[in-house]
Amino acid sequence: MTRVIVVASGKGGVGKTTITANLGVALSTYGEETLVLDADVAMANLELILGMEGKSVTLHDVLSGDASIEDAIYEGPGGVKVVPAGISLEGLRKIKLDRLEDALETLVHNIDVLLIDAPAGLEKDALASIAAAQEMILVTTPEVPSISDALKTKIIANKLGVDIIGVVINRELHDKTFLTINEIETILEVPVIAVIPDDPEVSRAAAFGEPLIVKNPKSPTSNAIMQLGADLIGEQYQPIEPDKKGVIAKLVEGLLGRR
Amino acid sequence: MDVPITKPSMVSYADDLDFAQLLENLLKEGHNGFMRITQDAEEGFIIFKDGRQVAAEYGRFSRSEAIENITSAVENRGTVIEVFDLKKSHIDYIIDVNKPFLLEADYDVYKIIDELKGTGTAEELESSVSEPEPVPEPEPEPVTESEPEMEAEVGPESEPEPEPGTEPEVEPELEPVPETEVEPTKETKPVSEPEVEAETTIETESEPKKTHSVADYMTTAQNSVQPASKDQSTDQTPISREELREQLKTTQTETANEVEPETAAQSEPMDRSKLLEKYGIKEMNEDDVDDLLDDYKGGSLNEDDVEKIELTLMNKIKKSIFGIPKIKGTEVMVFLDNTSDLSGYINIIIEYEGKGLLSRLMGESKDIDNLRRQVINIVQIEIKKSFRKYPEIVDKFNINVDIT
Repeated sequence: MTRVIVVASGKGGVGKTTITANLGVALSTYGEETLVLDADVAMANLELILGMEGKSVTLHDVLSGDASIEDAIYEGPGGVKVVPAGISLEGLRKIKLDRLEDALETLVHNIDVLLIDAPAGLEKDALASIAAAQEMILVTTPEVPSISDALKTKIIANKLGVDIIGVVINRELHDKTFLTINEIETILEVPVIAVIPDDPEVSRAAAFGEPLIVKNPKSPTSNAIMQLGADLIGEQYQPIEPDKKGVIAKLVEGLLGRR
Repeated sequence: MDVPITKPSMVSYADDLDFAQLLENLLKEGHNGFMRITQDAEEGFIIFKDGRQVAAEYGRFSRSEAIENITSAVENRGTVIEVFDLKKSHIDYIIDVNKPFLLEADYDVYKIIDELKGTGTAEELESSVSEPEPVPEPEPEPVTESEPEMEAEVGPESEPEPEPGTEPEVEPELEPVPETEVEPTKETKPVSEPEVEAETTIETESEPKKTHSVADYMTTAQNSVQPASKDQSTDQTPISREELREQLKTTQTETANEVEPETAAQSEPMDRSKLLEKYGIKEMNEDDVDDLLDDYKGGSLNEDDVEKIELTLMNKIKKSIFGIPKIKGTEVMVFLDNTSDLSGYINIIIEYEGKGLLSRLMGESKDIDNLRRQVINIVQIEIKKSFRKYPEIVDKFNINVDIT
């Protein structure tokens, strides 16, 4: 039975795509047949994070009726299957979201987990992504606007009958000016399933077009996402500890005055 | 924690050194700077001033909780410990920018912030508010001669706990202090002047909290060695990791009662409506949600709506069909299915005024096919007109026409 999990947030820019991409790779490394679908057809970024831009057939083409979904599946890092959204804005008007459900019906064959990177907001495209899933991971940063939007998304998901697995708090800064985990859980009435620290390595990895858990598996973010993936499928995960090289790297980092 | 990461003066794995010994050495050196402890995804810092630990953070923990976690972290293989040196002139600034992580009692103002955020208790708030400044000696302690020494050591840093820094024998004496005096402090009130007394009694309530915090206990452990190095009177045995752990265990049980109110406040359920009000977060009301979902994919319908639509559509189709010549009569049945997406069946029975026998033989079947096509077109137009915002719905209707 394929699990269809949508990663949604409400607010844009909270790191939803980064988490989806890395979580997809993480699940794939655990041996799960995983497919990541970028449903953010207007602001597609997943392919940039996974270094898969410029693919000839994308979800754009599928939703426009110009291609079948099977032709839009590509193999990404760690063996994860990816359906990129297509960065071009051409043909956005031709898109019919009704076709998304048909596409998903085709996709769910022969895979264990289908991860959908939902668009931000609560427009039709976002709702279509949420409605198409059985489960949801809600991503938020510990800031009020982000949590406010996450709450709206959660309410809509409940109404659509989607099970909410939990909240992932991204870019945690241990700063008292932000909401605490307890507060976020209370407001959203959903358990926090992962706390991902603010990590400059994420931006660096994106610049290289590599998922962080491949580029820097020892980083705190990578460990947190691997742990999240393990929790989702009931696996055990042993965090990767820094090795001697890591210490040297830290020394170099120290010499360069970076934290 | 904001600390300037430069070149560390020492880097080591936790299993390659004795952490307790390291702390002792830093104390002896009067180290000014900080330590970074990295274990897996977690990172922690301890700031040292004159060798004493003054602030700590570990992951999402701060102050004494951070020290507890750091103590556990250094037990793990692979934990990296880095020591960074800072100039004495810089350390006060670093301490100042990291006030939320300070171990000192006079920074309990941050507890007030916690409480204002709804995590503290009323008693904590009371005790914190009434702590304008740390009073070093709030109560007569059996330790006498070591107190001036401690004050000299503590200096302007306002360390509120003089007792731990005496000699090792103080430890057993310390234990009963908070237990016997945490609550019944009211009884100690009527001793001398009322004003000063008010302050000191409050102080005695809060002071044991700091005196017996894990962080301070570690400091205590070090301080207990420091005088020894000066006097050479007491035995100068360095505290091993096992001893430290043992001490921590006892301290933790001791501090459990003190920490309890705070942690209990954190774990106890918060008032959601107050939180929403505090942060100005508004919940979507039911109507907004329904409106949003109505706009999505043509909307959703309740059963009454379905019946109305069926009736309206039926009448419209019937009226349009009667516009076709030679139609003697028609019956239209519309069945809408609203289970997931709106779809439907439309059955139409038409009584057609046929021609004579010859013309029937010649080509009435062609006329009937044309009529069927015409009726289907009319039905589709009516459906599209009825669902203007969602004309694609026409594809979800199954139209059946019988002509007799």
